[in-house]
Amino acid sequence: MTQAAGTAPLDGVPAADQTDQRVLVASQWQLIRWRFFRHKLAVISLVVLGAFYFVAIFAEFVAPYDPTDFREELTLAPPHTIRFVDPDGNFHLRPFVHPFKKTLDSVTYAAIFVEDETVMQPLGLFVRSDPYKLWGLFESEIHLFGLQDPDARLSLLGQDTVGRDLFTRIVYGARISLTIGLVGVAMSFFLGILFGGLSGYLGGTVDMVIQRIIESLRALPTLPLWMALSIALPSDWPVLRTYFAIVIILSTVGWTSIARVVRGRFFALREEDFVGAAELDGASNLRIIFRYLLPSFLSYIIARLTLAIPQMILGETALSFIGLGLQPPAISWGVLLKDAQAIRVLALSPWLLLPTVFVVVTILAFNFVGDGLRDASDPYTHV
Amino acid sequence: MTETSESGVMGDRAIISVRNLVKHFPVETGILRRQVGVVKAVDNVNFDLNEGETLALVGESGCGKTTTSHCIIQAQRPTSGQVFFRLGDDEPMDLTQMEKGELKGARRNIRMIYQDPYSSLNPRMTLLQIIGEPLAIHRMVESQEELRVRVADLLRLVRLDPSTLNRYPHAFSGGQRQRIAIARALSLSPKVVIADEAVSALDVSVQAQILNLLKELQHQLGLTYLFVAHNLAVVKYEADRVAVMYAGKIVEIGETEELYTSPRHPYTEALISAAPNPDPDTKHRARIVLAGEVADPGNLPAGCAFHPRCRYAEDRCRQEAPELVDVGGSEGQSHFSACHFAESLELTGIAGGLQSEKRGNE
Amino acid sequence: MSQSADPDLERHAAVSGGPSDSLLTVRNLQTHFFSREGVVKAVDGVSFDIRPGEILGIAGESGCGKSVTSQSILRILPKNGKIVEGEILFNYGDRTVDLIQEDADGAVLRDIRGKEIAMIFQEPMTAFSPVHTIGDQIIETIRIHQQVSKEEAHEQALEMLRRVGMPSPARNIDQYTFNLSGGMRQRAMVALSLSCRPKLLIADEPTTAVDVTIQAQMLELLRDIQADLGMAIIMITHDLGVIAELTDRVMIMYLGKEVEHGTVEDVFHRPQHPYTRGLLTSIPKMEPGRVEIEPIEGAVPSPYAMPTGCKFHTRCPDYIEGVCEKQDPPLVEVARGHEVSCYLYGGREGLE
Repeated sequence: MTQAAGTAPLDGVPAADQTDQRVLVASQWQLIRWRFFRHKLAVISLVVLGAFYFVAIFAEFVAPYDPTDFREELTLAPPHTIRFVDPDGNFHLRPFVHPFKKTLDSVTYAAIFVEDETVMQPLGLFVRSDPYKLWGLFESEIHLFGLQDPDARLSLLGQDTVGRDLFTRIVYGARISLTIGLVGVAMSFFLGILFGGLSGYLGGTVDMVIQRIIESLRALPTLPLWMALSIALPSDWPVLRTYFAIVIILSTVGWTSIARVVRGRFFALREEDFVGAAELDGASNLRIIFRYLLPSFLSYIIARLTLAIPQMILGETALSFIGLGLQPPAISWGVLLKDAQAIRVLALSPWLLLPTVFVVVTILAFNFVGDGLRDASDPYTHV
Repeated sequence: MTETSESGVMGDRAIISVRNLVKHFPVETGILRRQVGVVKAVDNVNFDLNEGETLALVGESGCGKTTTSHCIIQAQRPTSGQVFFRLGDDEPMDLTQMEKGELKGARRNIRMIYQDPYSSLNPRMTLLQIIGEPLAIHRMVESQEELRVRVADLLRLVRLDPSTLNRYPHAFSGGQRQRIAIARALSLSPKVVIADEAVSALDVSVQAQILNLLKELQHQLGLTYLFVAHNLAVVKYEADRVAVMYAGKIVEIGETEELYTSPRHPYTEALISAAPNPDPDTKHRARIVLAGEVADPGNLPAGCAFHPRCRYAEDRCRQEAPELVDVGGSEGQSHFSACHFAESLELTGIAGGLQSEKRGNE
Repeated sequence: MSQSADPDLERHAAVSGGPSDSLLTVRNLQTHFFSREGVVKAVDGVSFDIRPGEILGIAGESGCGKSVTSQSILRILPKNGKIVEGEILFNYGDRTVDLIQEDADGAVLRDIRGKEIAMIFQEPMTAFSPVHTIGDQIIETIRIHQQVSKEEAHEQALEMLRRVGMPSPARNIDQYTFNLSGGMRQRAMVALSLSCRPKLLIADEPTTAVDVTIQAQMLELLRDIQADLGMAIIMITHDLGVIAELTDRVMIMYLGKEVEHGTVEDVFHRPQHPYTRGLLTSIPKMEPGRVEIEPIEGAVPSPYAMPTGCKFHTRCPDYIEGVCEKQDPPLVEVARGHEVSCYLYGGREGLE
């Protein structure tokens, strides 16, 4: 179809609004926002991610228990069924659980947990249980939810191999697993913009050298590289230091793709007439970079970064799973999954695999958001 | 070319004089960037752009017209040659010898309009920012308020509603965008505007608006235009003088009417003949259809570059490259042609035969 | 494949309608594009017919629907484009089929495309695969539609390359498109499209991206080959010069509507519709002396914000208030075979 004349059609902006005053004076970011919000899956994913990050930030408050507190008698207890109807068929507005009674299987001598239907333990919001210090600052005992009886244990997603609450540990694990992607991507972003920008702006020999380095790095298989690097980490390092070391390891390869994108956009944009026109206007190099080049590809880079986060998360999960990443007592989703390595677990305690669900949901959500951002990142359809 | 006066390097009325302009692009190959050839994009071009006139550079793609215009404003640095620019009675300055800082001043007076109004306006800036950008860079305004007033004036100048200055380019159609580009070009009150295929991307009905606007602005502001185009009919309407380029060289230059009615170079004759005319009566006219394609500037034929396609070519054309010489126009005007047989050939322009037929019909 | 042997084709016996002497009859064609932003009525009720051996021009500015019209005929619309109404009757063998009723990927259209109706585009590279020689592609096209031996097809391909003025057909037949210059590619594309001697050739802006001397070659080629092979041509272009040089009749379109229709002489010398007149006065002329040009005011409206009534009334110098914005003006015949869609020439009786 020949491109229609008239005002340039903007993708994602409803036809009826095209002549709307708001659209005529809408900046790039407004147009991107409107376009992004038309991408339903991306918006839902964004809400999911927002909820996850909220949980991660307020982990102490959201998690009903202390992540290290263990109850031996509840080792490998399954998730509770949350009920509204008691054994007599009466409906209760407030949900409740039956506590577990532990018996031994007469043949295998394995522990069997049965619900004790004679006892009802109601759930509540803002209940008291294990004391904590939020961000190491504010002392409290109030948790978002839990059983009203401070001594009873709600097993929302089951208990782990030493009787720690899995849901609590997943919530705490989100802290590391969700931020490692962000910090890693921030590192990659910094390195990528720096080297990609140098490559694209200076060109020539610098460009060639940087491109060869990038190609060499990308030629290395990632997992063996990460493994080699993490084996070199001293095992007595504190959790925080290991965490940053892992981030740096993950970024060694991550920045290369960002650098390539930045370089490519740089070259493409230099061909745009409006950049040439700015040069003829007498604009300085810095002015051209900050006023013309950066705003033109920032949105695009952000979209690319969003799509790079899942790789970081998967990287951390993989390293920790094979035991080369973070080590207990650090809690990450990868560390939690290490518990699920034994085949016995899969058969008897499948809930130990639940951290995978969170990994998958997070990665899908990041991918959807990234897709939405990428589609929205250039709201100007060129003829 | 011999228009230079005794007083110096420039013609008397010239505001820009292009002398022996050459732009070669090396053809490189392999990792070691070994040069294996050269593309002679602009090959010894000479002309004067006189103050207040519209000079058109016409030719087919690859003839070097756009590269010439870029070399004038130093968007591309020429391989050799000079581009003299003179402001009023000042001494001419050679733009090719200037550093970036010095050029900033000269470029205030030589501005450019691009072909594609979708690529030439930054979509992320408002009209105020786009048109005000040169004013801000050259520190020609004291305050934001003054900038608004100046930009509103410029919008009025190009017949756009000044209340639209907070809008982004996406709110405008192609023709309106080209008006914005013109307003930006005029914001520094330049002397010379280079229009590089400025109307080629527009629909005919809008193209006519822009052509007329450029003319009005020229009268109003005393502008000088270098009008780079490939459409002969548009050039005929817009230009006072026309320079026809072929394979990096000017092959003919003269007053528009003179050049169109009595061309003195076989290539010009063929171009005029090939241009489709929206008049069905001329349908069955004898047309000169050139065989073959435009000469490859990376591999030019010997002698006159046009000779393989020229129906008048003789042995001399295959051996000796013709000089651009004044063959004399009517009423003492100069008319230059680079053809060995410019004096003897009887070439047909737009008046030939066609005129009488047309009259009979109306 | 032989057409009579195909039972799928046999089903499509004559459909009624359409003047018997016309090759292609388009009636009230409406093609719309559906997107998240809304519906664009790219072609909004266009009718025309073309007789065998005739050259029809379809002209208009960007967004007028001229290219969509041609895509509708061959049913090669983009995914979001849909023909919502109308008839496209093609005189096929000794019967008439309505191309709209056929499956776009079905046997009938596959057989018609390339064999009965061929198309050439603005960009010749798109017509060819870069990994096959020109000859192979022409031979394959011939052998898809005709039952001939490889040797015969090779002969026909050579003959066609010679006809379109390739400099040395025997060598060119084994070349790839990237070996050819722009003008040669254009010729090769014409040779490919004409290899099965179609009855109708649709040329969609074939000269827009080429230089004026190559354009002149192309127009001459089309003229010669039309005289030689006698096929009908639909020439789609925004360049009225090309229309005047080549065509017998012309239809001027604006925003999906047909505004004027007639012989080129009628339309160019006695333009009736204010839009046609505006277009003609907008174009600088290749004539001696100063000829002023008069632009049409304003810009083509956004396809999402179409004006009511006559689509041109927002820019029209002869706009009649209270009439033009009410309803679409009907086509009025102002002279024999010269139709105009404008209230200046009648049709107001229909308005209340």
